[in-house]
Amino acid sequence: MTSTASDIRIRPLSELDISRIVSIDERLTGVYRPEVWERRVGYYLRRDPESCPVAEFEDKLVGFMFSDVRGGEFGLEETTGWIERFGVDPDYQGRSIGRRLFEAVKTHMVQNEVITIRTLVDKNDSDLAAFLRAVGFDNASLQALELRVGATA
Amino acid sequence: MNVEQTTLPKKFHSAVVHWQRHNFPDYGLLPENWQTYFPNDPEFCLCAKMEIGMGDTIEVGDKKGERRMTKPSEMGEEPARHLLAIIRAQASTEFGSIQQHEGTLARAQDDEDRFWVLRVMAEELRHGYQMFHLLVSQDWSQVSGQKAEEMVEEILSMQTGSHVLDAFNLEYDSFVDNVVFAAVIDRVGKYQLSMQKVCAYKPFAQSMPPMLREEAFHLAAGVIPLRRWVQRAAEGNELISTRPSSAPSTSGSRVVSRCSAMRRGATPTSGSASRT
Repeated sequence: MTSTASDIRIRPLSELDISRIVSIDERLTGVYRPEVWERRVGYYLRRDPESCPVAEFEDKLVGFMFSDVRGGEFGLEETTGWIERFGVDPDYQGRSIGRRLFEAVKTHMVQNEVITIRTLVDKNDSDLAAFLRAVGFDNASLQALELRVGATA
Repeated sequence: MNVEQTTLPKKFHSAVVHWQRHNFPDYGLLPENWQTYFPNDPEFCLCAKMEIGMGDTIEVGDKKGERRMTKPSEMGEEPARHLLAIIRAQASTEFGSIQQHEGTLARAQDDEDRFWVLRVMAEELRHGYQMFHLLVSQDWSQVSGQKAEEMVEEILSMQTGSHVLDAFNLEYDSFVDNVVFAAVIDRVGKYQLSMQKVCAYKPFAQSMPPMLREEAFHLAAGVIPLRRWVQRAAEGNELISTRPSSAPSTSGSRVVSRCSAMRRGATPTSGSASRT
């Protein structure tokens, strides 16, 4: 199967997308966790579906990107766009779908007067970091710190 | 989101609160439990929300490219009369759906499902409030032949059976109806609100984005529980079945069949879940 970036349709998230997002996540992580995605999709539907574009190819959802416009977190008073989760079906990777999704997010953020788009990346996930750098992200002065206080991970 | 919040003049606000006390007595449970079920969301506000930053230019239709109208008198009599009818019908559906949901809300078997529907109901109340804001903040008397007070009174006096649209004149049988209604009828609402978002009358168009964001959750409050039920049925849960209790039928009537089973107090065909 071949597809080009122009074959891909970008639209806002809808509640009917949960099953496909669960499937894509399962393919990416090896874990079937519908309850997690029901919660996350429910949350983003309540916030702003238009900040969460999904990509369709021939009516099949093949990628998603969840983001949110906020302000005031961590002392950052400026309006900030946060990209939380995204994923592309492994069968459809390499077709600029992630870039198309990011461009949709960026356009929506600009319309909503966002000053900076931010996200967090695991240091061990070099592929993800490479993708984000390719669409324009750079190192931030903020550093993520954590302290484990529970008995188990 | 860039939204301006407005409260109705006191007499109209009080009329809505009075209606709520009589038709939506469970409303008070929502703020008490908000942090449990919606900890990351802003608290519910009974107010009108107008989107800021929407364009002043008409996007579609014969007047495409012209300036959006901001007063009923700018529209001409016939368009104003049609728009008024749409706003009144919209208001009727919002209050009507609360009356429907309230009847079977307590029959939810899952607290999360119940509080999701409760939030849906509160947001429908806000949508009705929003329509009242449109009705009372401008002078419609030229086409309504009524005072604002009379239009509000007329809508608030409607009951299940006397609402403008038939879908809001049906009594629910069980909590299945609450969920199916959110999944199906609120979907119609989503398309309707999407069309209204490009309305040439700016205050109406400005009302739609906040309503659409809330409506998206309403659909989820229908689809997610439905999905869970079907999954449990497929897993063989003895309390849930997608199979009709009598003769085989189309998929559309399966839900009805389950509603019927619950209405009779019977357990739907136990141990016979069909794989979906």
